[in-house]
Amino acid sequence: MIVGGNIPDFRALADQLAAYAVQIFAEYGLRDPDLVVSGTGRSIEDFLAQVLGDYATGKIKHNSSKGELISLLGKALKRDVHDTLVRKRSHLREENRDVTPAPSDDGTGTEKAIDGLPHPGPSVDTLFDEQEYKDRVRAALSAEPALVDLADTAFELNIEKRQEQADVLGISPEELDNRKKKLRRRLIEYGFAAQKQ
Amino acid sequence: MNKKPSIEDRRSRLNKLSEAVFGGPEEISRDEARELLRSAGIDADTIADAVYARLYKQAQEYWMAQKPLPPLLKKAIEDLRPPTASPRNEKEMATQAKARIERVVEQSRHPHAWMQSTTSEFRPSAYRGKKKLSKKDESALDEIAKRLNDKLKGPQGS
Repeated sequence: MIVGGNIPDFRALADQLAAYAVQIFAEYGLRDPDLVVSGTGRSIEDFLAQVLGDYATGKIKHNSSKGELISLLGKALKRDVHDTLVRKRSHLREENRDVTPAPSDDGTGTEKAIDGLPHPGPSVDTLFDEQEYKDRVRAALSAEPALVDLADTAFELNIEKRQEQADVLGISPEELDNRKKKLRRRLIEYGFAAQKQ
Repeated sequence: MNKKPSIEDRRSRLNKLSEAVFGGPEEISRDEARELLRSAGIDADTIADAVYARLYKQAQEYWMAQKPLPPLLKKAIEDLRPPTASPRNEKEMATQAKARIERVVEQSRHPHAWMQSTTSEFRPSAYRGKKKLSKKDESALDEIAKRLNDKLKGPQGS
């Protein structure tokens, strides 16, 4: 018997978290055709099964007074993706230390693998760099200035609240929600269209 | 000289920016989620099936250790159970039969769309008017039968 709180619909959670995982991949420019964090072998399915499995077996506990279940699981999923990226960086550095003479930063923004060749994709330092992150998002939205303006309320003005963002843009909060929806779609289309090319 | 922020600090800053710009997962409705997955060329059902298979494997560990299944894991397996999985009881068999009949009725309403969605091997016109199947048709049917059998041998119900 499931005690306390609402009974979750795991199918709906899986769909929403899968879309959120795809959004995270697009935000960080992870463009492996198999939806895998390259160099780690962990895919979107792995992240999703991990977070849902942890919740289903009680490793992640939800307290409804502290917010929605989907928010809690989304945070856990994002933390897992980030941890995987950080582990990947440590692993590559370890390999480099063992085999090649200190190729840590050659200014190309790429990490080097065990054979000394550039590892595919940007380095983790680049992925977690604030300016790089903003540039990636702006590039995805460049065709639609209204969406860039929305992103800049956070990037340039440090405004995080929905009502304040709507006020600055001179639109209603509902219109802001619509633009955010469009923004998520553009980011994913941009990220995954580039992947297919 | 400015000290470079730690990875933790940078992660937390990017999380804040992401939340402010894109919102959290609670802002993505199920319909929007499916649409976003489609636009990335991902089939939501395929992902759900893969997650089901992993959770089913976790459940097997409980069964093998003769431990009771956590209620949420049981619910997860029920919710994510693919419609193609073998029925576990009469109720499920009835549900699947109903879903199948509904699909057939739907296909009969839109035969053109159905013909386009099936592979050439499955099109009845490929065999119409032929007294005997050609070797090519026979091997295509064998291949389809093998694929279906493999699918049926996949993750089974509890």
